[in-house]
Formats: sequence, C-alpha cells, structure tokens
Amino acid sequence: MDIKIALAGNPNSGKTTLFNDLTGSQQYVGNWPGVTVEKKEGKLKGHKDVVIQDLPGIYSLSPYTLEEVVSRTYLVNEKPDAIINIVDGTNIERNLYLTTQLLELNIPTVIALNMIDLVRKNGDKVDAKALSEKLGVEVVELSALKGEGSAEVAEKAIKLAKEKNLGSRSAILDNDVEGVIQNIEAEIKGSVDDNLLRWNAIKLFERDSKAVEAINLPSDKKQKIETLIENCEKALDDDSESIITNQRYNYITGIVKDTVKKARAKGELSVSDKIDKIVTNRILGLPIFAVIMFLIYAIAMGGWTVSIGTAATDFTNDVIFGEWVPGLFDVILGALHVEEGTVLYGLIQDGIVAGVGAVIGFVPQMLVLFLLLSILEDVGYMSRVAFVMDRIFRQFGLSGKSFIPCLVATGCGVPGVMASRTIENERDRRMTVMTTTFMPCGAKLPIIGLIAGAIFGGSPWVAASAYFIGIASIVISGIILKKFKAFAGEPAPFVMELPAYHIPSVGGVLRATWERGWSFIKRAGSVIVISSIVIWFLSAFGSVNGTFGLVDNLFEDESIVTDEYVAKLADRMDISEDDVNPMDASLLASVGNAVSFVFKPLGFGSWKPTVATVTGLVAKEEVVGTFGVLYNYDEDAAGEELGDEGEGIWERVAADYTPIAAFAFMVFNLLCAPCFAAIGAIKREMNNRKWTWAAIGYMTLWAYVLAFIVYNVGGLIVGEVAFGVGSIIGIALVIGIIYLLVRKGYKPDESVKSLTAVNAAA
Amino acid sequence: MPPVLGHMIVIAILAIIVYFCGRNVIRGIKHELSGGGCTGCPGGCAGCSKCAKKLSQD
Repeated sequence: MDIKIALAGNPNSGKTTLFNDLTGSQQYVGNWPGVTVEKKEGKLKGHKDVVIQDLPGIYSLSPYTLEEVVSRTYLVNEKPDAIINIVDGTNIERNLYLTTQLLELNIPTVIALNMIDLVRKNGDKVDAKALSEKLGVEVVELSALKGEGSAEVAEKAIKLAKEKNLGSRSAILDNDVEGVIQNIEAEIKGSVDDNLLRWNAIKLFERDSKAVEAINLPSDKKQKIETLIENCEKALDDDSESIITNQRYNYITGIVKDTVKKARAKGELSVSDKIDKIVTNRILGLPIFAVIMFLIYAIAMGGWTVSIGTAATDFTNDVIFGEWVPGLFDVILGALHVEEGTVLYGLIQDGIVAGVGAVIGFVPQMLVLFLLLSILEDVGYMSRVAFVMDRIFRQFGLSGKSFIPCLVATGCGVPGVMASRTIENERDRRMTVMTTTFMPCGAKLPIIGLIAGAIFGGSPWVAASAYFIGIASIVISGIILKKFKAFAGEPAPFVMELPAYHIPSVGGVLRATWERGWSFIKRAGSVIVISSIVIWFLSAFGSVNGTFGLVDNLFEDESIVTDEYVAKLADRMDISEDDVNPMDASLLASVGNAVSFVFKPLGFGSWKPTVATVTGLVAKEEVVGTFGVLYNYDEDAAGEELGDEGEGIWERVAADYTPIAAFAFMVFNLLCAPCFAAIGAIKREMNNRKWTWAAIGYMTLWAYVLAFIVYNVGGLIVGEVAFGVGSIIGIALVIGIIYLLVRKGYKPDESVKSLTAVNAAA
Repeated sequence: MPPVLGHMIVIAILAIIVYFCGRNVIRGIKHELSGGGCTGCPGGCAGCSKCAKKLSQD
C-alpha cells in the first residue's frame, strides 16, 4: 500500500518548492501567501509507493477560508501516514503555532526547518537538536529552494510512517487546563477515533463549531462538557479559545528562548525592512508601483529602443510570419501543385497561417512581460503591492485580500478566480470573483499589443493603461457594488506577512515564464487553428449579386460586380465605394453586419471588430487571430500582397480605426465577459447559476459603459467625435458612475455576523 | 507528381488537423464551461500543462 506523506505548514513557508523538489513536479510557486488553493499530489522521486500531498498553507487547524478547509479536512479525515511540517526558519515563533496543533493529531511528524540558508545569512542560529528534544519530534534543517535536506526529510518521514513512530510529545498546556482537557477526553471516549481523542477534546474546549457538529454527543454530555469549559473560563478569566491560544504561545515562547539566537538586536531593521520603508511608504508606495508597472509594460510592449518585446514581436510578425512561414508554405504547396487562387491555397495561407501567425506574433511581447512580472513576484515585491493596495482598498470599504486574485489573474483569469477562495467573507469573495477577470491576462495581451503597436505607434502609455484600467475597474466596481445590500459590510481583515526579499531563482522565473507562454502557444495551436479555418470559410464564401461562390473570384467577374451592386454593398456596410473589398460580400460580413449595430455607439460598429469581439468569448486570443484572417486580403489598389516590403495586416487595421475607436475597442475587449474557461471557473466558484449570470452580465455592462464613455466623451475631448446624443449619454453615464461612487448606500447591521465562505459552502 | 495527388495529400493533412484540433477544442470547451478548466492550477497558468494532460486522458 502507498505511504501518504502530507506537506503542511504556514502560507508562503515553501511547501510547493519542497513538493516540486521531492516529486520533480513543476507546480507554480509564488512568493506570496495563498498560491496553493487545492491539494496536489505527486509520487516521491525514486519511491513509487510514496505519495506526497501538497496542502494549502494554514496558520492553524481552525479554518476561516475555503482553502484552509481543504488542509484541515485532509489532515483530520483522510489521515496521512506522516506529516512533513514545513517551518519557516526565519519566523519560527509564528510557524510553531500550527506545529503544536499538528502534534495533537497523533500522526508521525517530522519538522522541516526551511529557509535555513536565510537564517544563516541573517547571522541567526537555530539549535535544531535542542528544538527536536523540546518538541519531541525530529527536526531537519532544509533549504527547499536549493534542494538541501529535501531527501533527508523525506527519508525520515518514510521511516516514521513505517514505524508509526509518534515520538515523545511534551506537554503544551498548564496543569489546570490539561485536567479539563483530560476530563473532556473521558467524556467523548468511544464517540471519536482514539487517535484523535485529544485533538477533538481541545476543539470541543475551544467550541469549534465544526468539531461540535461532527461529534454529535448526547445532550447530557454536551452540558457536562460546557460546565467544565465555563468553570475553566471563570477560573482563568478568559474565553476558552484565547486560553488555548495563550498557552500554546507561552509554550512556544519558552522553546524559542532556549533554541533560537537572533543576531539582530530587537528593533534593528533588516535590509528587507529598510526597502519596505520606501516601497510600502504611505505616500510613495503607489507612485513607485505605478512607475514600475509602466516601465515593465514599456519594456515589454512599448516602442522604446529598450523595448525588447516589441522588437522581437515586430521581427516575428514582419519576418517570420510575414515572409519565412508563408514562403515555406508557398514552396510546399507549389511542390504539391496547389496554386494560388484555389480554395486550398487560400485556406492554408490566408486562413491558418495568417490567423495563427497573427496570434503567435505576440508571444515574444508576452514572454518578456511575464518574465519581468515573474521576477517581481519572486523577488517579493508583489506581496508589498498587495499591502499597498490594501491601504487604498480599505479606504473604500474593500479588502486588500481581493488584490491577491488580481495578481494571479495577470497570468490567467482561471486561477485568479480560484484564488478568491482565500477570502473568508462570502460577500467579498463573490465581489472578487465578479471583478478579477478585469485584469489583462496573457490571452488579452495580443489585443493590447495590437492596439498599442498598430494604432498608437508602440505607445508604452497605451500598453500600461490596460493594466491600470483593469485595476481601476476593480476598485470602482468594488466601491459601487459595496453600496448594494448583496455586498455591503465591513471589509475582510487582511493580515499578510511580507516575505524577505531575495534574489529570484533563475530556473523558477524562466519556468514560470515559459509555462505561461507555452500554454498560450498550445491554445493557439488548437482553438486558433479551428477558428481561423471557420472564419476563413465564412469570409471567403458568399453571395455576390445573387451568385454564390468564392467572393474573391466572383469579384473579378465584371458581369457580376456591377457599379450598382458595389454602391448597394457600400451602403449596406456603411463604407465608401472605394473601401469595398470582396470580403464585404461574404457570409461572415452579412452576419457580422447584422449584429454590428450593438457596437456602433462604441465607435467600432463595423462587421470585422464585431466578429472579432464575439469570437473572443471562446478565447481572448481569437480577437487578434480573427483580425489576422479578416485583414489578410490582397490590396488591389496598391497592387501589393501581404508581407511585401514589410506591408502587414496591422497597417490595414490601423487604417480602419480612429485612435479613440481603437482604444474603446481595447477597453471593451479587456473588460467584457471573459473566455469560456474563466466563465466555467466563475460558475464553479459561485456555485450558483444566478450569480454566474450576474457576474457575466455585470462585466459586459461595465465594459460597454466604459467603452461608450471612452469613445463618446474621450472622442469629444480629443476632437475626434462631434457633440451629439452620444456625448450627452456619455456625460450622463459619467455622472451616474460618480453618483454610484459617492452615494451613501446600504449599511448592514454590523451586530449580525456576515456569512463566511466556509459556512456558505457548507 | 500529378496535381490531383498533391491536392489529395493536402486535403488529407488538413482533415487530420481539423479532426484532432476540432476534437480537442470541443472537449476543451465542454471542460472549461463545466468549470473544470485549469482545475488544480496553483496560479499563473502553470496548471495548464496538467489540464492538457487530463484532457488527453478523458
């Protein structure tokens, strides 16, 4: 039978790093608490019969959030054969609180004293032997990041599991409380698993609702236990939960005093503390964050000389997918006698190559952006950003906890939505699920790159604005929603330890960057291929003046394409006769044109952006993929073909939109209903059909309103749009948003406790 | 090589691509809409490789 070993410890103590080291997995490791929200398992390297379970980080076995329930349920109900308790060596006192609880589960435990390299670097000393003797369990020094001690800790855990060796646990509680706990143990003996007798007795003493519910004692026993607890509370003049907490900390303080020697005097600041004084400064914190994010977007997607992402993307678009790949396919298709102008040639070159190439072209920008973001995460800066944002969020009645999912969502909206589980207040959690996908995820980056690059000449301001529009939408939505009864209430408390700054691990950063980029390429290789094929067919075939066929070929026949027909088509498409091209007669153009009125008030109401926006619902990458196919036509007037002399799709896109209409298009596509995967994740996290639809509806409405304001009011300001009905409605919408922001709103009765996510899920 | 044969080779390759990509996309959409997309993903999209593996086993 397999040996199950659980990795348990505080958030951000290095469990996933150790898990990756032990199992050879490549799970994402983030330098902030709450990265792991579901348990993961893997086989120990070299031991096919040993399963390692990575659990979400917990501070105690009293769960407040959904992911903490995962850990407690596993440890208490599924009972692993051994526990590796990861203790952050730089923060022993706080980490040992969980240790004292784990030891009560009567499961063989070994303590992995992690980050020992940092302990040594700080000049601190931990006497592992003395610590082991005092706790009564084995302690192994470990640096999970460097892989030091990982094998030893795993071997020790296997040995303990095989021997079922519990060690010699020392007494944690004072005699008075110990006596009460033993009395409770006597009362519940037979009603619970013998191994969990002590743990249950302590939980009953603490009046832990889940434990009380699970044990189901007769009322006379319940009464007897309640009397024991009340007597103890009177004698010690404190509530039962605080009594246990205090006694645990007294015990820990005693141990730490004898085993840990800090090099730094009390109150002396470490290097991390000194940096934090600047980057988390009340006044400077936010501007520093804004400047850093601006520089990151400028380097990845801007038009500066140092913008390596843009340079690489230009090369990919203009040379690789502009010349090399089409050239290669020309040779292959030529050898197979597939001539230009045939359906097969068009499908491959103008459909698949153009569609997939348009999306893949933005991968370099994405990789540079993710590389820089990964470095910031690994260094420990993003944890500080959450802290800075909490200060701002809190002023508006929001919790900084909502910002952690936003940080995760910059990679992908799905884990971002899932990260909302770290929020214990159900109302705040729902609100976070509704707004997290406003952040520009990897799939939205090509849209940003396209608009910033093609329309705004590589402006770093436009690229960075996408990030800040996302954050601003979350903050504004939060303030507005918090005033409604369904979300009103005090924000959830946000306590987060700031990890010490450290030099990022090259392997970890490159792996995180590559995995994000690779998942994008894989999607492009499936969804984009299929959608490019479908879109090419629908845009290549159509009815021209009553004759159905390949529109390109039909347009060459002057007996079919009469002047009268061109004028009629131009009128239907709301374009000039000079701008009419064969694709405007396609099936896709007819369908897109019928729906395009929806987007007319936003400035991009022609059939091409309409089709691109709709395909973006399946996957956001498809917006650019669709443009790749729809703008990949021969320019008859210029007599040029795509790719000649650097001529590309994006120049045609630029010619079709005014800057303000393009910006409105970007805003709408960044903020509207997310892709299917994120919608599925929202459905799962909301666990309620109505809330799921409310979330999708809210996002789409918000995107529409904002894009409307951008086009009509923004256009009026920059002189692109004349004053009219749109401007009046736009100004009214701005006033409406301001009213929703400043109005008093619903004030809940704070004496009534709000529902926690744990209770809501029960 | 006669042109017909060349065309048949291209059509066969396209049919294979459409079959496998199409199947993958349909399964993916079903999986995603049921909330299973990126399940177990610890954040930052690293779980996607895991999801892809799961999908291929379904």
